[in-house]
Amino acid sequence: MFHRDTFRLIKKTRKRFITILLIVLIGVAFMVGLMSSAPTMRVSVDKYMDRSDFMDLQLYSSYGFDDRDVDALKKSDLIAGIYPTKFTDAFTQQGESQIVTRVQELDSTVNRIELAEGRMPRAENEALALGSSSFGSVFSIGDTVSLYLEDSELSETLSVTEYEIVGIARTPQYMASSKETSNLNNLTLDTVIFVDRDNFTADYYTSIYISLKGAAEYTAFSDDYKDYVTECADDLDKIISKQEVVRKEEIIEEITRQVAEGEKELEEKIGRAQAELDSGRQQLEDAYIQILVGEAQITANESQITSGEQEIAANEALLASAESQIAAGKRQITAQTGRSYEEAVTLVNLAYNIYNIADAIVGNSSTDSTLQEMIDRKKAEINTLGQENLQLTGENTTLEMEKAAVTAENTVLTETNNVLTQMNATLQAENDSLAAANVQLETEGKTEEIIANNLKIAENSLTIEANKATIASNDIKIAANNTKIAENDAKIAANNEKIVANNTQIGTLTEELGDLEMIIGMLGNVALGSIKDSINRMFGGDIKGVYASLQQLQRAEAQLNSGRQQIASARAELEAGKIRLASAKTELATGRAEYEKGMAELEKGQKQLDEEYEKARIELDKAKQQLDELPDAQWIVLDRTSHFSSYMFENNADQMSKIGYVFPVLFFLVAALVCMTTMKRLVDEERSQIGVFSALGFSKIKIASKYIIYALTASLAGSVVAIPVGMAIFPTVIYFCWKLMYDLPDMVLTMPAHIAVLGVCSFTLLMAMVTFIVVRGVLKENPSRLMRPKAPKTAKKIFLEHITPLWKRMSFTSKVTARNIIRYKSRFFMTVIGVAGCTSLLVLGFAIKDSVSQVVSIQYGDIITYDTTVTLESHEDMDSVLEKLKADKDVLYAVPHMTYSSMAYTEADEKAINVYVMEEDEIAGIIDLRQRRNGQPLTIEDGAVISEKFSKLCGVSVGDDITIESANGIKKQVEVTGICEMYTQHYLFISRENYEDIFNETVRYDSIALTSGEGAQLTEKYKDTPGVKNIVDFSGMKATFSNMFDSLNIIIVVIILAAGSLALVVIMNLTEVNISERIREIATLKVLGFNNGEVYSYIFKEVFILSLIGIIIGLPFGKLELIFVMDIIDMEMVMFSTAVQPSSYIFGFLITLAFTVLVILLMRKTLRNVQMVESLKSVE
Amino acid sequence: MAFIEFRDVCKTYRMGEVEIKALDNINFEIEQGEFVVILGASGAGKTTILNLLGGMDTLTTGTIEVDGRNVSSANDKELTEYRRHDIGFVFQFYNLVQNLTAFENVELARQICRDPIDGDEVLKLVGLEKRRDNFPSQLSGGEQQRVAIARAVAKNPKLLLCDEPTGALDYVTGKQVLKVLQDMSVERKMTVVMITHNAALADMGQKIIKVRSGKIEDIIINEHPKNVEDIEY
Repeated sequence: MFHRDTFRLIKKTRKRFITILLIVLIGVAFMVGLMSSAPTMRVSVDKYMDRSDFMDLQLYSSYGFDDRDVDALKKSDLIAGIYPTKFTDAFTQQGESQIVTRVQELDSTVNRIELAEGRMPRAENEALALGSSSFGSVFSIGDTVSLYLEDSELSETLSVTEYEIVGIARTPQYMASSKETSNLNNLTLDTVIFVDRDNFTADYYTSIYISLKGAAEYTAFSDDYKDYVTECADDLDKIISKQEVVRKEEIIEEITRQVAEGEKELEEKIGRAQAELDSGRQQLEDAYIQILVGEAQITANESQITSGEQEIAANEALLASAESQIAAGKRQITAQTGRSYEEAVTLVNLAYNIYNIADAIVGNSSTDSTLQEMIDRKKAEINTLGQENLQLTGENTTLEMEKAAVTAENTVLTETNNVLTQMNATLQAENDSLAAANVQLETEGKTEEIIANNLKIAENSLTIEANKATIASNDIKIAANNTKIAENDAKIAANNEKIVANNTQIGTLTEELGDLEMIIGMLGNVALGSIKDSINRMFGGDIKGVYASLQQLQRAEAQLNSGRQQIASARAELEAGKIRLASAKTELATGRAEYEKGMAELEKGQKQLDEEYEKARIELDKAKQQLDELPDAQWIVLDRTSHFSSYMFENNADQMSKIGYVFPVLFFLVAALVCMTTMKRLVDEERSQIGVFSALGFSKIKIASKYIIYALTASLAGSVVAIPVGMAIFPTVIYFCWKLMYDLPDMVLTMPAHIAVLGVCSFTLLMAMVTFIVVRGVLKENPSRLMRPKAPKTAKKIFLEHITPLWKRMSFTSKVTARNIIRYKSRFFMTVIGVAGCTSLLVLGFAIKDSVSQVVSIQYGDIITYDTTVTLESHEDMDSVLEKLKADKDVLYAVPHMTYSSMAYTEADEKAINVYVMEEDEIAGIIDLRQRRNGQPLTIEDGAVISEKFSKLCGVSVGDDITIESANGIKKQVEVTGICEMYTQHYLFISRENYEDIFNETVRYDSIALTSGEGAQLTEKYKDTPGVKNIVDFSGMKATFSNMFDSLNIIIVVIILAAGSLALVVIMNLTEVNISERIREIATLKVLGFNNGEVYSYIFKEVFILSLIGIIIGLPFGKLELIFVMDIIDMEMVMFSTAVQPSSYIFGFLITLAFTVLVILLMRKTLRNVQMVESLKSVE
Repeated sequence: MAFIEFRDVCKTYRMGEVEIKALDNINFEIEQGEFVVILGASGAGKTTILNLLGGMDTLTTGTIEVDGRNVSSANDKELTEYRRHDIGFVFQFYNLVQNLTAFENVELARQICRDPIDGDEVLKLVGLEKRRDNFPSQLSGGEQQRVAIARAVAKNPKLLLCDEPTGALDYVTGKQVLKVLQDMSVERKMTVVMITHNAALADMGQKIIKVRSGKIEDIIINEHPKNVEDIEY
């Protein structure tokens, strides 16, 4: 019966009831939602891992594994699945960027991959690419992937290096979007492809995957699971430590064999090289001998030339004397003839001829007659002969004429004969035909006609006979004529003969006549007999002697000339010989130089060979020595806490649960305050009734139970709704967000009972407790006092009133507001905390987004100011490339540097860190080194500057020393002189000078960082520049990041909803309580004539100001929450900024304000509906 | 024409199926400066009359005119204006704002009207000038009611409506309050309408309207109203 009253109360005050219900709903939903997010993540992934038989343990060994190792492990009954596997890391090029790809086995039975798209590979050159439902895949189906290594041949470990992607696979092994470090220069792995196992050619296994029996029954990441795995790993350790030794022995054997082979090979190689050297030496020496021979020959030739020259000189002397003799001869002749030599020669020859002629002509003649007489005689003879010829010629003409006449007669006669013969033939033919006709006629008996015919025939025969006689006579005449012709011809011939003979004689005579006329011209008309004497006299008595000596002289001269020619040709030959000799000399000299060079080279080669041999020897010795010191094969047993993706995921899930435990505290607090305010008001209103019940003798517990039941009912109702809602919404949203970082399977929604119970119990108990405390306060009073109206709370002057100038200026409603705000403390706190919670949540939500996206914008906008890196083929190309870049006006800064990844060792930890070495005054162009807190610039002048996240993780501060490696792996200590703002990766910056001082190594810059101007396309421009190996523009990276972070908006939506509902409930509650408490006052004001606006402002000003206070307090709290959240979701490689953008504050402020205004607008109706009549009611 | 006229005023409340006639054809007039007492037992309808007169409630049929203004046909906004400028209201339970001092409570009313009387003057009028900075909880009931009257008067209303002003007060303080009301009427020529169930107080009024069961039972013109001092109850 008593409790019927409770439910009536609920019905009556349903608004308040709903308020409590709602705040519990929000609180519980938030709490169970956040708390069950981590279990949902874990369970979903556990299912995924179980489904793919994900490994529990992974084994690595410093020496790899062989089948004996695997067999040994298989003997253990702890093992459910074992798969020895090979994998290798390689590069592939995709556009401008180099991708680090792991090549893994396709059909592993542990860590089974799931085909998500496409088909399984069928050929050895087909592969699956790693993909993800949330962030896609690096390679797509149909892509061709060409793999390579930079400093060795990939084909040594992988038989096929070019693959076609035929499908996309997923595996929990590579769940995280970020991947582990590859085996290639500590570069981070980008993606994985899966290929047939036969493609791996290594003869040992890289790793062994093991799944344990019974491990799948435990939830992954749970402590039970971890304990079980640790236990199993301990058991396996026995096998492992045994195999470690076995494996080492195998290795020793193998290496020993290799060393021996190496030694043998070395000896052979050196031997071959030595032999080559020796044969070279032999060849050189042979050549040297030839050179010596050549030199001797040249010497001989030189002496020959000398003797030749002497001989020529002797001959020349001989010639000279001959010449002078000839000259003397000539002079003698000149003297004898009295003319010049040349004239003398002609004269002598002529005289000699005349002499001979005279001798010939004159010899037989009388020597008495003179030359003229002889000439005349000769002339007469010629004349006679001429006359005879003329006569003969006349005879011949007559004979020719006779001949012509006879010949003509013969022609006529012959013609006549021909005509007659013709006529005879015709007549004979007529006779024959007549005779034939007669035969016919005879048969016919025509005798007359026959007779006529016979007459005719006879006539004809007579004619024929006459003709024949004529012909015969003609023929006789012709014959006589022909005889005459022949006679004449003979005569003509004889005459002609005579003429010719005469002419010949005339010729001879005419010649003789000429000679004679010449002689006469010379000697005058001397007697014939004195000609010879005259000539002899002319020439000193003996023309023949003169002639002969002249002849001799001429012969001598000809001889002289030929002698001269001989000497000239001998001399020319000699000169040519000299030239040949000179060139032979030069050749020999070159030959000798070559020989010397060859010899020097030979010596050098020998030295090199010796050195090489020594070096190889040392290395072999070193290898032998190392063999002696060979450590035991170290097997590394890794469980899932060392597996990159699992580890990352587990950490993130843990972070998630931390958040799940912290945020509900806020709601807890607000719920308690809301409950307190509401229940206080309720109890106040029920005051007299409580008094009555109390007076009637109900126990305090019984009375209190009414209100506790009221609160419990609200709480339970709220919880019942909250648990499914919260557990569905929050994990879904959070799971979605984690999908940004992990390739997660479909979510398996888990609703852990303990969390539900915890959520319900905590809030319900809290509500009950608060209610109990409130009611107890009232029940302390005695019933009689309860039945009287509650004494109004004494109004007090508030501190504001002491500030008279301010107070005086405030309107009365403001004064009431000010006093009310300060008077009701629990309401004040409820509203302020609630609204502050709302604001801070909003600020947090926006700030998380800011923070994450800022990492990108600050990191790649403010800190890393360069946007392009150029990697050179070699450091030698630096000057040429740098010059080009510096001349480009699109390049604002071009800074040569050297970068490499090093391990950094500190007392606390060791981590990979990116080391950048450059000139200390150039770093400002590409990286803004500054302290995060105060923006103070840092310099690398005195030592190394490290990134903030690294300093935090390793506990290194300024002044500490850390040990890093040089580019060549030398470990040295460097002093940290600055810690710079940096949001991703770990960095160490050091100046070239310091680096060189510390490591004693010369820095060779091989990269250039570029800060490019607006819109510059440097990649295109310089990618083909000689010396440029690679140019990468990473301004696009920023955009990619930004897109990814846009998905974070969903978090913002959830936070706005949660924060908004919190604000709504709290402000609504405050307003409701205010109105109900002051309903009388409101009615009075209305009666006094306050219009609606004035009444609103009277009530809402308070709500508004409280909200404002809440908002202002909430803003810094948002920042604190951000610091807290960011501390929890701490990532290894990323430092989140905890700076809150003004915009986030503004959004937090405005949105909360909007909620306040919304409530005010909603509650106006309630105010309007307050009846003035209320003012007339009595005070209860 | 009279200052206040009620003509055929009916007010019916509907409670589910049942109709309750709170006022049934009421007619009366009140002249300016009159001190009128409306007398009736609990539930007789006198508060309803006061509500209608004070512009706090609307009638069902009939008309009410105050100073020539038809109150019965006014809308909410006009009624607010009417209450604001023409009416001063004194409640049975004073209805002071607890968070304001006596003076501030007066000021609260003054700030919303056109031609208010000075706050201190009004407090002096009700004899509470010395308590001006006290909060209601620091004042006795009579004092609180006098502050309430001061608050009503400060608006310089045409009409002062008092709902059982002494209902929550003891005899002596009640008398003090009534004295103040009478003084207002006499000295400031203010029209005062007072509701009471106490017949003894009726003699104060120049006109006494007796109400019973929603109807006017009687209207008495009292040519010689008694001074408060002379009334015993």
